[in-house]
Amino acid sequence: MNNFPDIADLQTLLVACLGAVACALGGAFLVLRRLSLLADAISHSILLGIVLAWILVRDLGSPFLLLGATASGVFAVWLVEWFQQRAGIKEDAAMGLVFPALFSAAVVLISQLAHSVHLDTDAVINGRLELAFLDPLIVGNTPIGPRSAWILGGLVALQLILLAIFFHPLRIVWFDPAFAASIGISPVLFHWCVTTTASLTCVSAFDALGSILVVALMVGPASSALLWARQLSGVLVLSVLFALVSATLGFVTGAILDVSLSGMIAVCTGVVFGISWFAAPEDGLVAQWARKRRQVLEFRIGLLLVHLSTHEDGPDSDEECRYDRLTSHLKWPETLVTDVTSDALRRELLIEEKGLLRCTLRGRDLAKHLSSN
Amino acid sequence: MNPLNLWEITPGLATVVLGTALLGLATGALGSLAVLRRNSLMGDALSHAAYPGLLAGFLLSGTKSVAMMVLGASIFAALAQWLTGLLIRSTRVRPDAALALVMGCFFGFGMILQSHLQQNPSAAQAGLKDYLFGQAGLLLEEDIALLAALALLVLVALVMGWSRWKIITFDRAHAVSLGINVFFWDVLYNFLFILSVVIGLQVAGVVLMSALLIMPGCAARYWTKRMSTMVTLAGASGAILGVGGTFASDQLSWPPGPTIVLLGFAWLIISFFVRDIRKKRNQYSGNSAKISDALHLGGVGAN
Repeated sequence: MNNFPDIADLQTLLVACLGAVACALGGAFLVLRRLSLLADAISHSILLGIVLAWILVRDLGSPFLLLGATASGVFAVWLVEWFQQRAGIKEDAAMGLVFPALFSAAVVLISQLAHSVHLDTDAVINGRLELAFLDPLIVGNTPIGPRSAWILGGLVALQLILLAIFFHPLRIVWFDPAFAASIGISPVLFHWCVTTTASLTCVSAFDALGSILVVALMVGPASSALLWARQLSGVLVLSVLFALVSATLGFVTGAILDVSLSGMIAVCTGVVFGISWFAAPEDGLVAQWARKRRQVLEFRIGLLLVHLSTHEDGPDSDEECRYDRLTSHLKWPETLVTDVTSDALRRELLIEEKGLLRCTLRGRDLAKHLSSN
Repeated sequence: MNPLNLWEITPGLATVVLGTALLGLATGALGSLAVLRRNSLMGDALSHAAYPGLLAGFLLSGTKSVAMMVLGASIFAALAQWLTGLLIRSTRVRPDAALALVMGCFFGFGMILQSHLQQNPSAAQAGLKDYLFGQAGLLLEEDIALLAALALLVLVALVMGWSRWKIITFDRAHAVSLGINVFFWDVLYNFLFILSVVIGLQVAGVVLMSALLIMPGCAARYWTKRMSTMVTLAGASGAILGVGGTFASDQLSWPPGPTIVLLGFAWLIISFFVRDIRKKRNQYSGNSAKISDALHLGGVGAN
């Protein structure tokens, strides 16, 4: 690996990043609609469309192949819906039935045509990111960068334009389909627009990235983003950001270790998700742990205040409210007493007078409130 | 004329037929539970997640040792299942996204291992790619023993705990209130599920494994409303699909895994249309049929 980032590496990185952004934008809506596994179903089904289109046009470079692939992705979605609505099969089973069937048909067709077509089923799963730069788009006589980069770049542009035009109705449809229908926006129409875009994304991206990385990039960044953001715009921006981070990180580590780049990027979407799971506000593990700790402390302060306010004006106040006797009265270890009292003193719920603890006005109110509940 | 002569059953073909039949029996019966529990896609996720385990087993043992690879695959599948459950329980991530995410990342790791293995070519490595699409044709006699053990284990577990499986599948809360150790039965179910996926990978491959699990169950659901009939029918049709698909693939020289799946899909569609026709006929055949149908519907849970 001499002079590491050479022009081919940069072109590969560009393809990976554009693919990641395209998948993240297309996938975010699937994740929000709880249709994540549709990405899996579509990315496996498009192979059939490619094979059928090839049988018609007999040219692996023909744009009809992409058209056929997109159509078969949409067909897969339609078939899943048909099984669900007309044939009484649950959503999960419907997906599990449709894509193996379409994929099997494609594999059988390929095996029968093996002598006349070079379609590698293995490459459909694993992708050929490492080889993307070998297939440049040629305008006139000059190569102007990898073909996949132009296709994926065009797709990202298309997605951004669609998003800019339809952002507002999409937001309504995605969070409240019934309301959207009542103000004249058809949820069904938008459902098909989004699944068609998802299908188009899978088709454009699978050649370079492979169907599994497409699934990982469609679902991973959006799921991570959902842990950080609550607004659609925030989710979309963060999805794109996380996808870019995963693609770059995966590319660099994959290149250094000299292993499958697609695999490494897929693992990196998992790593990004893992970090989000750990660190995200509210839903992250650290935040959950801190919240639990805070709640325990609040509860203990409440207990202390109720204890003090019950005894402080009584005959046994000298005994019950003495700071150094609390360990035996509350049955707390000494360190806990120190922690809780110091926190309560800092928040001016208590004051200390000659070794005796007394509630402040606020502390007494809080204790009264707690014991009346 | 003996019709069997047409098929030219060689000992190799007989082994494959027996193997796919045994696998179809086990996955069909167990998969119909998955269909009823609505976690049909667990099979797909686990088969993808088990792939790096297979390769890790190969990498550690240095040879294509079935025991190590099955062990590795089981560990990865179990890890994936635990992680998926944890994600669903402790975050806002939806079940579908959790499955897809875990599946994608685990398989990505598999791709890394695969590319690493390809750089150090050894003789035994040539067969590793077969796990992506399955190579039923490569089944050996010692694999039959493994498949037979799996089928036996699944059947014994289903028969022994039948009433418990049924209660847990249809009404979990009721099962808990009866004092059934739901945790134990869940662990057993997951164990059998992982074992079927891992062993089945060899025959059906990563992509088509899930179809083997749920197609027989979904088709059987069209023929009956009783769970016992459904599971029996699913197991039997799974075995028949295995046999039929293997013969068909041998005759047409199609790849066996996809052939079995396509045959299963055809069986599913036929089952659907038969039910559709029966349903339409019932609608036209007067009130008495409707009443008996309604009574029958009322008794679904009580078989």
